[in-house]
Amino acid sequence: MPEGAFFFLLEATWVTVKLSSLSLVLAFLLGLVFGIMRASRIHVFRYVALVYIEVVRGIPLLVVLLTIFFLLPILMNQQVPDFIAVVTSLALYGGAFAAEIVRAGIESIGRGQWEAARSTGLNTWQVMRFIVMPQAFLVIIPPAVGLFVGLIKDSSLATVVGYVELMKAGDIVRNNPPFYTFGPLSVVALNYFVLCFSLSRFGRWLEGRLSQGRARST
Amino acid sequence: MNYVWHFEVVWRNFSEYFYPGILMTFKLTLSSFSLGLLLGIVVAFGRLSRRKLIYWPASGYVEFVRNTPFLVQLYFVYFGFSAFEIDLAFLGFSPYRISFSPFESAVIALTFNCGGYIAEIVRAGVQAVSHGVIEAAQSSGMSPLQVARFIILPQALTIVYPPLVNQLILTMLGSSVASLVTVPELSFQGELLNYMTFRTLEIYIGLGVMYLILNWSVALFFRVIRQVCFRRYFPEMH
Repeated sequence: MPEGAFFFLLEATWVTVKLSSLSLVLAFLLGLVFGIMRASRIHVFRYVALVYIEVVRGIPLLVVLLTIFFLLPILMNQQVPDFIAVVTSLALYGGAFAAEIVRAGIESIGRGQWEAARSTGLNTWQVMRFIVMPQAFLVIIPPAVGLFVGLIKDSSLATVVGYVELMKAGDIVRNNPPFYTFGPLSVVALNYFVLCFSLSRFGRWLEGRLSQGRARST
Repeated sequence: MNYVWHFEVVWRNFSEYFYPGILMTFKLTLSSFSLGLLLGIVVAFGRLSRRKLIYWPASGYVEFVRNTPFLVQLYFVYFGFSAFEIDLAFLGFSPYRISFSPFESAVIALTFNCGGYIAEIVRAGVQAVSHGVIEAAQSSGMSPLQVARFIILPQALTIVYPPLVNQLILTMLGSSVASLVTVPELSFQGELLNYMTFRTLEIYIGLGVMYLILNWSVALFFRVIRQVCFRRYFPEMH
């Protein structure tokens, strides 16, 4: 590989991490809203959340990305930086998966907890905030790490709109002299692998730890 | 927002652009999923093996697939392998380069990709059949073949079927990435039409709707199959 290309790819790895962690946070905010709506007893909320989740999960990320990339400037009536377009589409895409994770977390808390909390005089919001969410959090965390891994992998598709993250950086190195192919690609793959593998191992470890704590407490 | 929508671009060009694309998407998905299923079953038993020489390569493969983006895998097949030359000068031939056509490389990469995920699904399915059930069947005098046929297969199939359908749909969505190496599938055809007409938004929204309809019909198809063919394996449906 040419001089300096390695550091260029390392920098691009950092861009990928920033991109996917920001979209993870936004995806979880979306997921929290739609997950609670999905688990709620009000029909309208449930169906709105269901439509969002089903539609987003049924469309390839490539198409979501390109649609948002061209739709956002029209909606905002001004130029939108690539970074914001990419983060928006990754967040929208991840939000659907986060919503399912949050819903599973809420539904893992038994009805008895709800009834007990309600009968002590807490209102629905307080039950959600002080009783259900702290417990559901433990159930939500391990799959959230999985979602993060997925978002890191999916952020490679930002290449198609020309945003320079790890994958695109690899393309740039490949398309410049001395036009090596295998080396840059391997470094890109290795960077993704190190990131995702360590994260998914961490997620598995966390899952074991958290389920141990739960088993002891009940 | 002052944008004039021209959605007629999508359906006027449906038969010329999108229909062949849909056929290509199906072709890509079905061929790579069926090959991936074979690969996945083999690898799953590799991961269940107690021999290190079998376990480690299978695990390495699965971890590589699950922890790198599909795009990287596709580029490895399409661009990466053609970087190697096999020198045949001593035989008087020009050097041989491994190269795959766009369709071939997409099938290889998709097979490789979904094989890894299917391996995990199958492994979980086989492991979920509890040891006690198998021992009970053996002690009631069933032969190993009978145990496999009547005890393990129905239970594993019940567990494995829904995630496998899910994986098929994911493979179909993933096949849209193959447009980046110019396989003329659905999203590539959309991009082609975009270059001709510049109705970008209408075309991408139309693509989204088409993918949704494709997915829902595939999901519905497999739900019907499950009702009709595998009814006795799914006792909760009776």
